[in-house]
Amino acid sequence: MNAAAYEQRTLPRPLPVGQAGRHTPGWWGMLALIGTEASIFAYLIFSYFYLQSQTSQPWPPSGPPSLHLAVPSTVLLLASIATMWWAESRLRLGRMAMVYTGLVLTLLLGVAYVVLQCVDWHLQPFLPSSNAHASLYYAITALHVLHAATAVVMLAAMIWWCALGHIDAQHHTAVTIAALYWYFVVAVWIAVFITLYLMPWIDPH
Amino acid sequence: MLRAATIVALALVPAAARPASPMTYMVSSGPAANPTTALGWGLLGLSVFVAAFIACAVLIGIWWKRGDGAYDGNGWPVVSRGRNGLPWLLIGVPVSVVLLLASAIWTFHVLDAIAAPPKKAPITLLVTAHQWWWEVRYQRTDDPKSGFETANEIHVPVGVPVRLRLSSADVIHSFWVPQLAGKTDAIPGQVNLAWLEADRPGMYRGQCTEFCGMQHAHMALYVIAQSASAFRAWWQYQTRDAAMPTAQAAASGSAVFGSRCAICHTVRGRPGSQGGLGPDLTHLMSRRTIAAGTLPNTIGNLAGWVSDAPSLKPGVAMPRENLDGPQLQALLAYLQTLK
Amino acid sequence: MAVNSTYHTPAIVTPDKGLKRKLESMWSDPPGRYGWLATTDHKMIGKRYLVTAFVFLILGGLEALGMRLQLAQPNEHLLPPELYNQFFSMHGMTMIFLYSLPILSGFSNYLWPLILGTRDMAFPRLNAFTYWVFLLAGIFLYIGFWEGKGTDVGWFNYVPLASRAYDPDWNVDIYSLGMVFLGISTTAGAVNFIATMFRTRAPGMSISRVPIMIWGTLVANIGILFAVPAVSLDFLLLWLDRRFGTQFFDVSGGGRPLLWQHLFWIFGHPWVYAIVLPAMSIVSQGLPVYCRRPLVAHSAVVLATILTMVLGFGVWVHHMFATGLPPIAMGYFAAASFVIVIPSAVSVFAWVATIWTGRPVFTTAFKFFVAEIVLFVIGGVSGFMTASVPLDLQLTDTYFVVAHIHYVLIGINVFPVVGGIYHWFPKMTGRLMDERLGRWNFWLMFIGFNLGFFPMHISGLEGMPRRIYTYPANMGWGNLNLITTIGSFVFALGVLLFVINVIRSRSRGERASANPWDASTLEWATESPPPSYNFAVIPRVASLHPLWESRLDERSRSTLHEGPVLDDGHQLPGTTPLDAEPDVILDMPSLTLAPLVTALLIAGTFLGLLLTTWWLAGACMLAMIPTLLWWLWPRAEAGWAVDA
Repeated sequence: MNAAAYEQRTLPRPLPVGQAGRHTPGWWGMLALIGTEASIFAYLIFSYFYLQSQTSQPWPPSGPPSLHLAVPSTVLLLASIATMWWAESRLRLGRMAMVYTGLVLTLLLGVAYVVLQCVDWHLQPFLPSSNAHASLYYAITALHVLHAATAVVMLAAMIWWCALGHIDAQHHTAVTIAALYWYFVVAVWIAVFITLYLMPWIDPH
Repeated sequence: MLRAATIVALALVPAAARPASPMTYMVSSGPAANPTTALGWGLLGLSVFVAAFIACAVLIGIWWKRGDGAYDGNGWPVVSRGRNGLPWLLIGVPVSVVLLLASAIWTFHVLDAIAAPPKKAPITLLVTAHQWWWEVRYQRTDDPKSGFETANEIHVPVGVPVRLRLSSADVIHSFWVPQLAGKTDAIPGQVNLAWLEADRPGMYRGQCTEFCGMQHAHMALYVIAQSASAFRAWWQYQTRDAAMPTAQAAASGSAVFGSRCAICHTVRGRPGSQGGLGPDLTHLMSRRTIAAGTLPNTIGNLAGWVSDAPSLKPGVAMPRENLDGPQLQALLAYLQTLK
Repeated sequence: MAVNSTYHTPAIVTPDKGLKRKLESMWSDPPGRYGWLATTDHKMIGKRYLVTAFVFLILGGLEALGMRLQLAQPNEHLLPPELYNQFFSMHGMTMIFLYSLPILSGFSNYLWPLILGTRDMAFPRLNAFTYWVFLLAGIFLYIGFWEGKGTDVGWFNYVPLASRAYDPDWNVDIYSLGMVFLGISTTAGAVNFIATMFRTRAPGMSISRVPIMIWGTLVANIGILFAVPAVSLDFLLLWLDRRFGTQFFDVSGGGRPLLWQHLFWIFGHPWVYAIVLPAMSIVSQGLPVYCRRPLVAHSAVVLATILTMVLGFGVWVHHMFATGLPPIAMGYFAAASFVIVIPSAVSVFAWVATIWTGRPVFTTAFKFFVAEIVLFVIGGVSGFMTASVPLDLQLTDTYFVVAHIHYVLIGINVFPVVGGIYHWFPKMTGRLMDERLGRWNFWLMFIGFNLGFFPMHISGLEGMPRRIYTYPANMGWGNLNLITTIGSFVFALGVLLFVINVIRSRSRGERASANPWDASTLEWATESPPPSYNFAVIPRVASLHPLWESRLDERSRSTLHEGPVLDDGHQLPGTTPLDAEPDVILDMPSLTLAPLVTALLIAGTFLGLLLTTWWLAGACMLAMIPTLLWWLWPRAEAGWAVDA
């Protein structure tokens, strides 16, 4: 078969080189990573409900937790979805000033969440070694804080690369992938918040 | 392949030509195990048939001389689409499904049969597994305050179901007397219910079957099934406290016991011996074995065990007792009175 | 899709020497230490996995031989219980975690890009990283063993025996942290395989044209993605209990020992499918070559593979039937465990049908693949017996289960692996393995294996419990154990012959052509061994058997000898997930030390955690930030906005 016949059959067309939004392997890699990380939280939440089902004692032993810091944390993280989405959409249009604003705001919201969570730990009446509920509470929230901190570092890298000019309207795949991770972190928080903070109030054991 | 089959068969001949092991469950002696034994033989037979069938199909398939086909330049048969092979699946898979369904139905039937005793169990045993011995407390089911405590050797009346409440004082163990019932784990923090019943008199061996540490290999037990009258007599006997020793050797042995053994071991009737870390020794000499089925209960073994348990069962909690000759003799004399 | 600034239309050419030289210079690693340490070539990484996994197989095998010597006769005193318990625990851990998956990763890493008609995996640096983490985690898991502190409470590590109260020394801490460490490699590998399968196949290789070997590994890795977190979490929680006094498993604090078992087996059961499905697909891929016809019912086998993995997540409680769970739960899991036999039956009948309707050629590889079928069925039926709850209450924790697991693991993993080496060795090295030595190798392994493990069915049915370092003389188990010991040494001799064959054939084997077995898939279209760039021009695939199309009278023909040349850099095409139409040109990273450095930092972190040297752990974790920035730094070729 000669080149002409091949050409007719397969019609090669101009293909983008490198970044191609959701067509890069990186997007799939991030989806797979999210799948596995979400599983860890799913298993932790399974452990929480399993141990709850096996005990006849009150669960949590110290009563339903205070929502004073958890609710603001949730609000902050939900707001960060909006800022992240906004930054992403401005990036596609090349409005870099707004991109910086959005990314920096998102990062600050993330940092604020981490700080609030640390304060909330300090205010809890129990230690990780107090009982099984306490151990799970700290394990779940600590793991989440670790994920949030990782997302914050990722965002900082994105901001830096924007400043260096490596990210712009035509080359934005990295931000798309980092944003996906950010949304995942917030989604996990919703699940954690409902499990640890809301369920004890809604359905006391 | 034929050579392989012959070698395997020869290997099995010595295996087949000898009496069954005391721990086999392919024969059983009670309603908690009998339905399972039948199921075991049935599924084993089915399994052997399936394995043999596929092995034959494979062997015939590779050796069967096909009609002459074309060969390529390298002397290999030419590649071709081949005949339709789907019938193998269209027949094989549905047949497999039917066999699986039948096995599942039989399984659920047996599961139902062994789930609970056929009639109410008048006796309950509270079995607490320890590293590496079995604590057994006997009770009449309707009178929890009745009963007594022994260790490692269990007596049951023939034809009467016995309820078991299993737990553990330390790690996970598993209670298993193959010819009387399947296994049930003894897990700390929970009580697992089981039951067994012996339909004929005899001595049935059991062993711990969940890895529980250094001496998991030496955590056996014996279940002795007796006639109703013999069992009643045994029960009466076991409820009695130990008599105070009168002979001089035994009396001084009792003093040795008090200073060395009473911290861990209970002897009912001997003041100051309420230790709960080791087996109850009130009727030690009525047991056929010591060290959880490890050694026959002879004077020689007892002497060796008492003076240096870790050398016989490394890792055991019972320490090496540095007893000199007279002390050991006295202690043995005392232990011999714990009939 | 967003607008990108760089577009390129690939030219269609027939490869000539000039093109090949250019590609070779771009894709090959420079000689020397740097090239060796910084390579991201999937073929190098695949071979490293194979060799390293084999070393662990030998280590695990030596542990087993030690155990067999101890058990050959009743009341032996060769191995005291402290040592025996370490041997059986390390043996299980080594075989199940350090051999059985990594060996299959080795095959997959080497072969996937070749079979898929592309030039590299989707994430070459991540690929290198997974190997380094595997190697370092394997070393980490063994550091205690030489000091007599190997893990010693079984590879399944049940609490409370594994808790600090009953095992206070380093043993379980090394195991726990090492497993979390190793899990990083396994998970990253899974991410790589999934992205590769869906994004970098050859143009035209639509889903229905993807060879079966890819399916086995893909399905296993999707399972790994969701199963490994359970065990990593389990071990992490245990380490926290041991180190910080948390109460996940401690009854006194509201924890439960059974939580350990649930998390462990939620991982453990899918894991056993992860370590056999790729090996089964090796047989599905290789057996038809030696039967001179395509696999019977290819689509059914693909679906059966997927169904097995899916069902594999729903049967874990069958490892816990004796723990006192409610009968209704046990009934459900027993039913599911019966159902999972069905897809296995599909594969077995497909293989048998392929043999019957094919024309067998008796190479060594063929013998191993055929043996797998028979051993699979024996292992499968013993497994079926344990699915029946009441019978399992007798069989579990006896040598019957030991027989079952070895028939499935050695029969469905080791035999196809050895057969797979005989099959692909010519491709990897350019030389054929010796067939005469191969005959001896096969028969010693086959006879030794059956002599060793078949009697375990009998000693199991005769009540011999597992994990005992010795047994009394009057149980009737002595002769069976002696036969098993003899058989295991015969098997070991067979393995030794295999190793000798590999080593000798590397230098003295007969030279192999590109396709010595006249096989059908794309890896056989390259030279033996393949050049660093795999394919000079990108193939266009038109069927499941590109190299057999004329013989099978396929309607369309694949194009292998001309195609798009992607030589502007380290390039390969990205294709759509289902139809494999090209939609992007990807530029692959090449040499970099970043994966190795990252792996070393992770090792440092775990070492710090083990020794509770918190500053070391913290410093290594923080150092990963600049390292990962280095790894991921924007590259102009990959399409970032970088002034070149």
